[in-house]
Amino acid sequence: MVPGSSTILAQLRRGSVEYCVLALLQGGPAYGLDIGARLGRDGVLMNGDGTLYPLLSRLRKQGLVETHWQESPSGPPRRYYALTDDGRAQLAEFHQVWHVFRDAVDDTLEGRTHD
Amino acid sequence: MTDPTVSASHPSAAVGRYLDDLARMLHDVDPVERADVLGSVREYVDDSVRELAHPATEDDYGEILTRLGRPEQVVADVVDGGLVTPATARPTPAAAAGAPTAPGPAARSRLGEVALGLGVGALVLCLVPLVGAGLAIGAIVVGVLALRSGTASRGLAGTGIGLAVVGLLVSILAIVGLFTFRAAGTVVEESSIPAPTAPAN
Repeated sequence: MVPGSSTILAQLRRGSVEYCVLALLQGGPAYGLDIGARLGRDGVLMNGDGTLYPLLSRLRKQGLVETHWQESPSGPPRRYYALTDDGRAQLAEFHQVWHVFRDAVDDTLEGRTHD
Repeated sequence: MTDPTVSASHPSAAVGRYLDDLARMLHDVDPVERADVLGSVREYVDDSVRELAHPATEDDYGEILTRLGRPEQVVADVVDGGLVTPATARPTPAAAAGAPTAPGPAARSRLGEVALGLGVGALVLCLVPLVGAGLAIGAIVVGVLALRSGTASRGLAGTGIGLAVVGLLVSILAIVGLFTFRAAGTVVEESSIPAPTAPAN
């Protein structure tokens, strides 16, 4: 059976979305719903918000992000997520691997070969 | 059964049901991971409610749950994304430590049948030296394993052991009889040889 586009997307998200979260936090701390809104804007990186908070929780347990509570200008305090040094290092590592991986996939899909 | 730590009295009945459904669908997941997912989803709901400029209504909760996605979709996503590990995919502590594992349920349920088969073979071939005895010993060993593993086919295992014991006894008697017969034959043959006579001087 040929997998549909949603299945392919789900497979591609696995192992890459968490790095997208880390990448979003490079610009500074953000709170959960904001991260979700930015990630899920086009429906490519996230399929609903159901996995967002479990993912953030795991990143926190892995020590890749840390959290703190911060007053909100429009309401009660929010939990903000920020990159840790480990998270930054992991993201840099992913960045390097991703470029190699992406180029290899592009070359293969477009029929380019390395001689 | 629902998770008591989660289904407990959420202000919204719809959210309570949603969390109960999630907990039920995640029953196969490590309890710590399950509690983490449920706590995270609850936190998402609470954060979303805090963003409202008015007290949340059931309609608001319904909209929040829609953004989360259907419980089965959330479960599929957290499993696919490796955020939880179903029990079926987790190595047992013994396996993780590299220790030999006990036979699985399917293997255990067959031990009784194997013991019975070996027992029947031992009885049928009891008069064939060594083969019958070997089958009998095998049947007894497998039968004892079957009984100790708590398999459902204990009756088969017991019957197999019984047949094996009978076959072993017959086999032993046959071997003893064979040796006795041969020994007696040797004595008869020796006694039938005429004694050498002394040469006449």
